[in-house]
Amino acid sequence: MPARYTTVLHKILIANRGEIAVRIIRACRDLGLASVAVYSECDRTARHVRMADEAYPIGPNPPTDSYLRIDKILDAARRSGADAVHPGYGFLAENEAFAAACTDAGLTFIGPTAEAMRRMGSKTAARQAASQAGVAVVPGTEEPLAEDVSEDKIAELAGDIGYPIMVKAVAGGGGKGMRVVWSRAELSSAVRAARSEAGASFGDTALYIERRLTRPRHIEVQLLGDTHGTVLPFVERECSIQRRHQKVIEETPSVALSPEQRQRITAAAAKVAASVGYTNAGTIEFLLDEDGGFYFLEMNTRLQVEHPITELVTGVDLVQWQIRIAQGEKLTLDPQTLITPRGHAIECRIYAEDPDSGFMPSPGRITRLRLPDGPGIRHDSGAEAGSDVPIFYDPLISKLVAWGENRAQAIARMRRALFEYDVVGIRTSVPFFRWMLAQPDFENGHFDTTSLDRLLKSRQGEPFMPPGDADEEVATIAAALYAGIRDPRSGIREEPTPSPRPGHDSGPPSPEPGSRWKTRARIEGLRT
Amino acid sequence: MTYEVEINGRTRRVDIERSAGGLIVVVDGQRHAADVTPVNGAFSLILDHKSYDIAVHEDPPASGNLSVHVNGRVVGAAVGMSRGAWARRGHDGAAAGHGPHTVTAPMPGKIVKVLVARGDAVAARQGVVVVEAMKMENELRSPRAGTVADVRTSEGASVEAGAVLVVIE
Repeated sequence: MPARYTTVLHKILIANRGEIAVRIIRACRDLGLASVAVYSECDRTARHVRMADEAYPIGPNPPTDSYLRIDKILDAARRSGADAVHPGYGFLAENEAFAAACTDAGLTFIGPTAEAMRRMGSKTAARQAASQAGVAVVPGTEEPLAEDVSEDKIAELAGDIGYPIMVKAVAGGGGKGMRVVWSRAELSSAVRAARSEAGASFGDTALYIERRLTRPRHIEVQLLGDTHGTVLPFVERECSIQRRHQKVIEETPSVALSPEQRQRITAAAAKVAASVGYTNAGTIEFLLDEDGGFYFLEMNTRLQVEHPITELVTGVDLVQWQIRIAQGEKLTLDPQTLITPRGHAIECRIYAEDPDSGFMPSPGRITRLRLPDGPGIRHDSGAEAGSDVPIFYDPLISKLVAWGENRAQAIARMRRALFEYDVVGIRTSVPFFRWMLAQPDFENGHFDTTSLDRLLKSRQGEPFMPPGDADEEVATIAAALYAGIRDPRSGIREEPTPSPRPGHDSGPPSPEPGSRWKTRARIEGLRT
Repeated sequence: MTYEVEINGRTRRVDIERSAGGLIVVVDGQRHAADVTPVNGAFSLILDHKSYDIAVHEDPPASGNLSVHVNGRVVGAAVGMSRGAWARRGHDGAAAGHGPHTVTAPMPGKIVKVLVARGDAVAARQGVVVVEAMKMENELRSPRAGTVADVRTSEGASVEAGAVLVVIE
């Protein structure tokens, strides 16, 4: 029987760029829907623009002049005749004014309602919702601290909660507006610093305080909610490998949860989401304490960067379901299969960053790209050979995902893929991942959210995966050959062309590097 | 043809000769049979029947300052013609690999701190300048060991991408 839709979508505008825009265009195509890209000036030839059915410019490079301009995006939607908008992640994805503006313009916003986004986007309101649904929250203040609250009052609240504490921005995310406070003496300066950072980053100086768990693991639960009251949780993802509160590696399932804990944590997540009438895709983040207790941390009211690992172990296309839910379709997935992982999946976030220079951004032109492939490998990318990584946006260039029948096989495939992956022209975090996946603590699953920062600190900037003697030997020869090839006077490319061969095969061709150079080099060019 | 290649502070001579069967490469008295064939902007190198996928990134162009990717592992190298070869051709400058190296701004930003002064000895990978860009402070490091020949910026200066900040000899 054909599905009944309350809205039938035909054309979707993607208010984003990079790998996630490419991902959403693919989902549109899978569903037979037209896609509309938007782009800033430097993204004119970006992959998402060339892949989409239609494309509209939305302004200069800085995000505040283009990808964050609600008016320009809505104008592109109107001109293209799009009937829905997918925000991706980042940019306007968690901006309730954008969701409301789409709805007001008669467009279907592919995400939760502005109301649910507002409620769960506020960290303190989300904590209240979790508490009311009977889910434990990390002990802390239920209300935001007022701007004029006295230092003594903050100290009293902190004392009640117990040190160490975290001071966090109510509107926060991505590690900004967040401070760890170990004692009363550090409190005032931490509150001041967090307030000013929160104001600068989010335009909102509201703060709250919560206890800092000493060695927590980050466990999160993906959810889908339809508009008919059904909320379904998925098997958890573990995202404890973080650098400065930013996720670096994610995997599913977690090695730290028993089936009983999985049952409890997924049920708790679904309960919180259902209690606020949540629809579309969302993720509830928890901290798992060393004693096995888990606490609600926050909700992300959008598609997550790391959604592919969930797709690989459940077989569900989350982006397609986001679109189907937005059309009013009922969730027809079997709840039990969603929390029963098939195998294991791991994701590495590949950034244009130089891990050997303190993870400094490394924008520029990718001159050559050798991409990983083969059994168990999925690569979601917005980059190509010849394309530029601009300085204006998040330097994520791709997500490398490996699936295996079990964790060991997934790790082995990821390591193989990381050595296939070669990016020439800019630096990437690939060498860091090759090193990280060989760490015994990673292989054994012994880590928490503080492990990577401690590990990196202890290395004191030592290079990741420095080349061995054998690589240096080959590189020495390759460098000389490269120089010789580039120099027409070297004679390396100047061997006389051998007499033409008869037109029949007589065994394998004999090695004639000179002549092959001449012909191939003319066709392909040698410049890298 | 003879080239000098510096990797990790060690300079070696590489002789390349043509033979009936292909190329012969001699390094430290060791002879290797080499077949080098371009493919897709990079090249395949078969060295004594071991196969390597090689890509080379030269930055800045024609500087001899290379990132050599060997099966996806990156080795920094500087290559130049041997001094003898240059002299025979009537050049008088040093080979490219032995010339001055520069530390350049990777993107537009502001100089937060200059950590070295002219005449200072620096180790390979030692921090020389701290630049703020993309809202992050980043330490730029010396590409090689040497002496600071010139500092072309100062604290508080705004710099464009590619601006030469420090020259190392």
